[in-house]
Amino acid sequence: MNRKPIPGLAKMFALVAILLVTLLGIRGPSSAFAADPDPGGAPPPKPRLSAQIQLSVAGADGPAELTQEGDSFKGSFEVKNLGPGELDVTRVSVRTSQVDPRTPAGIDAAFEDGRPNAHLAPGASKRVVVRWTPARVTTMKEVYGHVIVESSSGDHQAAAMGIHAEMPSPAPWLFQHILTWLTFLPLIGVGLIFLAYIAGYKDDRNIRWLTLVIMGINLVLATWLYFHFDPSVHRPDGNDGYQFIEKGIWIRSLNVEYFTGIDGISVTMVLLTALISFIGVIASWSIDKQMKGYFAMYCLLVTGMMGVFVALDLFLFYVFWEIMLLPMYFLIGIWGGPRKEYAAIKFFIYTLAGSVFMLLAFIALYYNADPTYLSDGTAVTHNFSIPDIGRVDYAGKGLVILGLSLVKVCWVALFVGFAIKIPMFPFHTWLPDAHVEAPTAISVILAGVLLKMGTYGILRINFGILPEATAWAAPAMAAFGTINILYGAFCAMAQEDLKKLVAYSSVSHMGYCLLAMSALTPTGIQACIVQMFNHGTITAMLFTLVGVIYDRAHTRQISKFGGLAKEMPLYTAFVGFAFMASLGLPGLSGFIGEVLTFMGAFPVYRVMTILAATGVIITAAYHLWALQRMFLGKFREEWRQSHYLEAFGGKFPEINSREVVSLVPLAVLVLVLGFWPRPLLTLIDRGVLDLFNVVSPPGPTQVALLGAK
Amino acid sequence: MPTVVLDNFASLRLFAPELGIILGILLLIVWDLVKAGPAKLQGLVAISIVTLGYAGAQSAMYLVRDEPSRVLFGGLMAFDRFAHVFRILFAAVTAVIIVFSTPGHEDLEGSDAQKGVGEFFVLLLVITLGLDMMAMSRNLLMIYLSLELVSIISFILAGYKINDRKSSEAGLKYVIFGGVASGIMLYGMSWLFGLTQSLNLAEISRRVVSLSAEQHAVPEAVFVAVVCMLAGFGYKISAAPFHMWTPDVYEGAPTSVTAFLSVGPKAAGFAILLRFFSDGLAARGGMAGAVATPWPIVGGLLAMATMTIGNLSALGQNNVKRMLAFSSIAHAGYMLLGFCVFSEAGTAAILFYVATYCFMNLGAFLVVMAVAERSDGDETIEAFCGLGTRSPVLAICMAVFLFSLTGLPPFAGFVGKFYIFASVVRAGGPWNWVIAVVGVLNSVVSLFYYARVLRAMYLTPAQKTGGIEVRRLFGATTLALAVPTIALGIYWGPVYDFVARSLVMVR
Repeated sequence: MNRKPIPGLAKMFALVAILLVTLLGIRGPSSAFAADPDPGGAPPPKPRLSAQIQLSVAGADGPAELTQEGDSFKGSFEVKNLGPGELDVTRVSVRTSQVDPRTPAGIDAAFEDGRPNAHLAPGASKRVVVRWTPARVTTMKEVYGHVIVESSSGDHQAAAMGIHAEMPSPAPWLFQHILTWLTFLPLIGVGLIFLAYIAGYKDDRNIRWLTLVIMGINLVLATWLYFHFDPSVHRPDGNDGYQFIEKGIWIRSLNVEYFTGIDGISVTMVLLTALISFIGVIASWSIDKQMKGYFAMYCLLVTGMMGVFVALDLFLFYVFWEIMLLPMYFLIGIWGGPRKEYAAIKFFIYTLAGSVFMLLAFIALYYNADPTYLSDGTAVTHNFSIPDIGRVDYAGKGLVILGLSLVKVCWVALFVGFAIKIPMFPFHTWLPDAHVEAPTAISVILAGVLLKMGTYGILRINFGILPEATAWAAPAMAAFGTINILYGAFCAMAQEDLKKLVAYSSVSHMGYCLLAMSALTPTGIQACIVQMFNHGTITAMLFTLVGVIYDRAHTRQISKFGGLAKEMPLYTAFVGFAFMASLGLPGLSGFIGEVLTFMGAFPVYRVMTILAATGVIITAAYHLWALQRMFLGKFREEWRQSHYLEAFGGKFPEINSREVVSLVPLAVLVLVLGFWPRPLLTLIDRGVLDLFNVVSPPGPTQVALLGAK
Repeated sequence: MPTVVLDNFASLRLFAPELGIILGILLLIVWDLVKAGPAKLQGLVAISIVTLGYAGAQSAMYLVRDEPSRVLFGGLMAFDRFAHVFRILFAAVTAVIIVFSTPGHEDLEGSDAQKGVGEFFVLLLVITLGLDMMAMSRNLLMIYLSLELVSIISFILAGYKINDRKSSEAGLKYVIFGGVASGIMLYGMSWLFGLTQSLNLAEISRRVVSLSAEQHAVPEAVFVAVVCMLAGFGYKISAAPFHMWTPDVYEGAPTSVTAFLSVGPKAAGFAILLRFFSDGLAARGGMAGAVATPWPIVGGLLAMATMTIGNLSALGQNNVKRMLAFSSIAHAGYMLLGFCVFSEAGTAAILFYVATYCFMNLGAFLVVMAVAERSDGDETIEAFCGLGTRSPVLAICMAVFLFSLTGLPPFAGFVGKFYIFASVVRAGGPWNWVIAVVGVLNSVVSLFYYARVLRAMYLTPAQKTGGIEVRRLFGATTLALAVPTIALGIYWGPVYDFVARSLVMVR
C-alpha cells in the first residue's frame, strides 16, 4: 500500500515562503527602536589611552606561510596598533628556547628594519619578517611554531602569530597530506558504498574489491611513510619530535584543533594498522551476507583506528576512540557467531564505561592546562593539544579531586579506560566473548590492532602527560602485567575452544607490554612497542588460521580434531610456524619482544620478571599441547561422514591460495623481524628515548646514554 | 545599568511574535469553521506554518538586530536574547510537530480523523503561545499563568484520542499530577511573596540577597518556598521525583503529542528554571551575593535522582515509546547537571543541549511513529525487528538518533553532553565531581537500552518480510532531523557560539 503525500504540499510551502518574506519585509521593527536609549551602552572609556595590538597576514588570520626563497624560507606578517594609544613592541621572537626547543633550529623573526622592537603610533602598522634557514643536513621537513610579539598592549597574554613552513615534496598529491589520507580514505569508501546502495547497485562482490583497493592504497601510503619517516628526528629537533604534521583549528570556541602527526611511538602502529586492515579484507572474503553493510562498517573501523594513532589533540583522539566502537558493535553483532548479541553489547558497554572516565579526565586536564596558542596564533588559556598539555606541570599545581591528588585520579581514570582495551586483568572478560563470536577478519583486527590502542594510549597519554603519576603507579602496572601474563597463560591452557585459547594467549602477551612499559627504562618502553607490533602480526596469523579450520569443520573444539597434519600438511606447517612465533621461539619475532621485555624489566622488578618468565613455559605448554591434540596422533574417522566435508569427498580441503596470500606477508615479517629486528628498532629508537626522558628525568647515570645521539 | 521598563502599550510592539500567534489562532478557528473538503487541511497547515514561521523569524530578527534587553508590560515579562532563543526554538519544534501530525491521505477519508484536526492545530498554537510566555515571564504570577496555560492545553492534547482508553487515562493522570504539582508550587510562591512582598523576580532577588546577608545563610523559609516551587518546575521538565506522570502520559498520548511534550514544555521548563534561579534568587556559582546557598546540593540531588531513575527504569521497557519517555527523563537529568553549577558555561551547555536534544528526540519519536503506522500501531521493540533490512534508510536514521541520545561522537548528542560535563568539571569541587561521575555512569547505562532497539533493528531477523513504505513527508522530515544531528557532531562551532552569546537575561 503506497500512501501519497497530500497533494499541493509543495504549493503550500511556496505560499508559506512568500508570505514569510512579505511579512518580514513589511514589519521591520528597526525604526521603532532607533530612538531608544541603549541601556547596555558602550563600555566606559578607559582612563588611559590604551594600545591594541593586532597581528594579521595580508589582512587575514594566521598562520603565516613561509615560502622557499633559495636556501631559506621566508614569510611575513603585520603588527598593527588598533587602539588610540601608543604601542611599544618590546620584543619579537620565535617561541622556543634552549631547554625546550619547540621549533626546528634556524628560525628568526624581526621587523623589516632588522630590529626586534618597534614603536607604533595609533593606526600604524609594521611588518615582521620570519626566516627559516634549515641547516645543510637537516632532518626537519616542516615547521609549526609561533612568533611571540611582546608589547605594551594591556592584554593578559602576549600576542603571537602562527608560522608554518614545509619543504616542497616531489611526491604526488596523494602523499601530500598523508596522515589525513590514511585516516579518511576509508571514510570515502564508506561514502562510496553508501552511494552504491542508494543507486541500487546489486553486485556486492565488487564492494569487497573496492574495499581491497582502498586498503591497498592505504598500505602503499603506509609503505611510503615507512621509507620517508626519518627515524633520527627527536624532540630537541623541534616540532616536538613529530613528523608529517597537519594542524588546523577545528572548533575555535573550544580550542580544539585538527592536529595529527606521528613519531617513533605511533609510526609502527600506523604501519601495523595499514597492514592488518589490508589482510583483514582478504580474510573477509568469506563474508556473504549484507556485504555492503559489512564493508562500510569495516572501512569506518579502519578510520577510527588510524585516527587514534595519528591524533595529537585529546578531543580528536577521543572522537576517533569512540567512533571505532560503533562499527565494532555491528561487525560483531550482525556477522558474528551464535552468541553475537551478548558479545557485541558486552564489548560496547565495557569500552564505553572505560572511555567516559577518560573523557572526564581529559576535561579536567584541559581546564587545568596552561595558557598557550592555537596554530594561527590565537592566545588561549588552555587547549587540548597533547604536546602542549604534556608541558603542563600538573603534579606541581597540587590540584585535588575529591581529596585525592588530581594527577593520580586522572592517571587512574585514563589507565582504566586504556586497560579495558588492552585488556588487563580484571577487565579482560569481554575479550574471549568478543573473539569467539566475531567473524575471523574482525578477530584479526581486534587482536591485531584494537588491543594495541590501549597500550598506545597509556604510552602517549598516561606517560606523556602525567609522568609523575606514572612513576607512582608503575609497580602496580608491573604487577598487573605479571598477573596478565600468568593468568592469561593458565586460562589459555584450560580452553577447549581453539579461538578462546588464542584469545587468552592475547591477554597473556599483552601482559608483556604492561610489564615492559612499567619498567620505565628505555629498553622497557622499546620492548613494549616491539611486543605490540610483533603480537599484532603473530596474533593476526593465529586468528586467520583459526578461521581456516572453522570454515571447514564448523567447530573449533580442540578435542574433536586429531591427526590433521596428514590431512592438511601445508595448513599444519603454518599453524606450527605461528604457534612457534607465539610461544617465543628464538629466530621468530615473538622472541624479540619477550626477551626485550625481560631485559627491560629485570633490573627494576626482579621477582615479578622471574615470575613472568615462568609464563613462557606455560605459554609453550599450551601451544604445544594444542598442536599435539589437533594435528598429531590419529585422525578421527567420524569426520569422513561429516556433512560439512561432503562437498570435499570427506576430506579436509587444504588451505587455499586466498588464505595463503593473507598469511604469507605476516609470516615473512615474523621471520625477518625475528632474525633482524633492527629496522623496527631503528624506527622507534628516538621516540622511545623522548618518552623515556619524559617519564624519567635523566639522572647522572643516564646522561651518557642520552648523549649518544 | 537600569533596564528600560516599557508600559503595556509600548510593549505590544515587542510582543509581536506572540501577537502573531494569537492572530494565527483566530484565523485557524475561522478557517476551520468556514472551509470543508481537502482544501481545509491544507489551509490549516498553511496558516499554522506561516504563523510559526513569522513568530520564529521575528524573534530571529530581534537577535540579528541585537535588540537591547527590555522589560515588558511594566515588569511582567522579559525581552532578552535568552527569551528569543527559546521563542525560535518553540516555533521550530511546533512546526515539526505540525508536520508530524498532519494525517495521511487516506486518513482523510475517515471522518473520525478529520474531525479534530482543526482544534488540534489551534491547541498546538495556543501551547506555543504559553511556551513563549514561560520563557519570558519574570513575575511569579506570570510564571504561574503561563505554566498553567501550557499544562491545561497539554492535558487536552494528551487525552486527544477520545475513544482510546490509554489516551484518556493519560489525560486524567496528567491532570491529577499537574494539579498537585501546581498546587504545591503556588504554595511555595505564596511563601516567597510573604517573605519578600513582591511578585517581581528582580525585587525578590534583592530581598533574598539582603535576607541571606543578614543571616549569613539562605533563610529556611526561602529554602522551603523554593523547594515547593521546584515541584512545579520539576513537573514540567519531568525531573524525579515529579516524573511519575511521564511514562503513562507519553505512552498513552498520540505520538506527535508525546514528541512535543518531550521537547517543548521541557525546554520551557528549563527556561523558567534558569531564569528563576538566576534572576529571582541571584544564584551565581552557587552563591547568592557572598552567601553560600544550598541550591547546588538541591540541584545536584535532583539531577542525579532524575538521571538514575530515568535510565534504570528505561532498561526494562519493551514499548519503545515508553522507553523514550524514560530516556527523556534521563535527559532532563543531564540538563539539570548543567543547571546545578549555576554558571554561564552551564547555562550555555543546557541551551546547546536543548537544541541538539530537539533534533535527536523528535527524530526518534518520528521514526517510532513511522514504524508504528506501518505495523498496525505496534510500538513495541518487536515492531523494529529487521528494520535494518526492511527500511534501511529509516533504520540508519534511527541508529543516528539513538547513538546521539547515548552521547557518542561524532553525533550532536556527544557535543551536548561534552559541554554539560565540561561545565560541571570546570566548576570543580567535590560535589561537582560526584555528580559528574554519576552522570557519565548514567551515559553508559543508557547505552544498554538504546542498544536494544539497535539490536532489534539490525541483529534480529525480521518477523515480517517486505519493506516498510514510509510516507514521503515522514521520510523527508526524518532526514531533515538526522542531517543536523550528524552535522552538529562534526562542526558545531557557530551554533555553540551563537548559543553562548544568547545568555543575556534582564536583571
